[in-house]
Amino acid sequence: MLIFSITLPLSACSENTSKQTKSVVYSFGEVAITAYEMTDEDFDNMWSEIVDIANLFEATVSLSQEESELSRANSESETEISNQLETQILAGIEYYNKTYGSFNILLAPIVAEWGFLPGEDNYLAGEIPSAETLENLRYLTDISQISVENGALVKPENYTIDLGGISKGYMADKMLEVLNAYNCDCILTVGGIVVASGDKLGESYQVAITNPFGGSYFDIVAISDEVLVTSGNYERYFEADGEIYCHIINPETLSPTQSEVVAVSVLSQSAMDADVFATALMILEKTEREQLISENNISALLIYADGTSEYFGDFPQ
Amino acid sequence: MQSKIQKLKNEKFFKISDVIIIAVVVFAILILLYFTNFASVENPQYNIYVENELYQTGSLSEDAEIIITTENGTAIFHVENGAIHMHEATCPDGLCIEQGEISSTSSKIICLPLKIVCEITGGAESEIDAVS
Repeated sequence: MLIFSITLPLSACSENTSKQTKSVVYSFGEVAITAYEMTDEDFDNMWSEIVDIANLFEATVSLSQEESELSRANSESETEISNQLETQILAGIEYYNKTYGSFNILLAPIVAEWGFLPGEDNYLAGEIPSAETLENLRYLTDISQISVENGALVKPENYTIDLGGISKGYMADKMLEVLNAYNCDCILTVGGIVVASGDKLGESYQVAITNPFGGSYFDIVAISDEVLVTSGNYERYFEADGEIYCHIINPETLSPTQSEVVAVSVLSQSAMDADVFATALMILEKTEREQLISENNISALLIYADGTSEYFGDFPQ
Repeated sequence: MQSKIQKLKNEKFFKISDVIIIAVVVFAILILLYFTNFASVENPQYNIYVENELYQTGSLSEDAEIIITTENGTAIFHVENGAIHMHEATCPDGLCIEQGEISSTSSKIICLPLKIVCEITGGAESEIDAVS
């Protein structure tokens, strides 16, 4: 008993000295890391590689930066694009097919009509666009009109590609490769995406899931060596006539999703998969939702409007 | 009373030397606890960053109003009852106000439009490593 009580404060001591944190804010959100038992030198080198990836993201795909590669490509009908951008656009087209069309990288004009373009936030005015306005824009969401040929993006000039739903996951996956290269025990958050690499001094990381109905957390999930992404209708929304209009647009109705699913958390080895599937599961109706889950072996927690919830795959209960 | 102490002394499992060892061990534990930041647990701090630069830091135990003016707008933090919250902000979405008050280490308030982050350090460790 005596020996036990002495070792307790000793271990607490080594825990404190071996924990390092860093964070920085970007237009897409905060990148923050907590690493355990790393040398200062490794930690600093690793962090600078992570910051490089985030900077590259801003320069490549950010639509809020007029000079980004994607912003410039969007204003042309044919442009040479980098490998990075090509990979992400092709992934976007692939996910469209994989998610039965519920994930679409051409929704920017619709999102703008609803006021949900990041940084503009016109949705706070609470105005609902007319069905006619939306229908007149539908042709701009036709994914068959865009392609990548010999390293060049080909599309009608007035089509706008928005990789917001892909790029954060793509970036988080690149950062995860860095964490793995340093064989690091750390937890990284990339604008809402939680990346757990290794474990926390031999134990799992405890990640809280936001309660979509407010108040305390909905659940606490123990994860290690996994990525967790949550999507919810409570993040950016407005209320009109008792209805909630959230930022997640259903490409079929061209309106905010009205699904009975109010929040989805997905656990995966890939941040890009997790982010896209979380969005798709917020949009699809029950039959297709469960088909998507079983076809892709998705581990997910779904929270419904009536307060009930359901666990799928290996999502820990 | 005397006889009880005498009785204890006579019992073989509890000698004066044991008492000394226990006293030394307790003392050693107290010293260790002191050096493991135990002393500072009672005094959590808030650190406010603007555009990734440290703007202001202070103790959560002292009530305060912190007014921050940036080129993107104005934000007002209130420190009350050992916690801090965003009281007012001119950002378009007001998500930072919705995040409510925070008081435990590692919890954060983030206002993306104004690029303001408030974090807590030096307090009791939160058992949660991240929020999704």
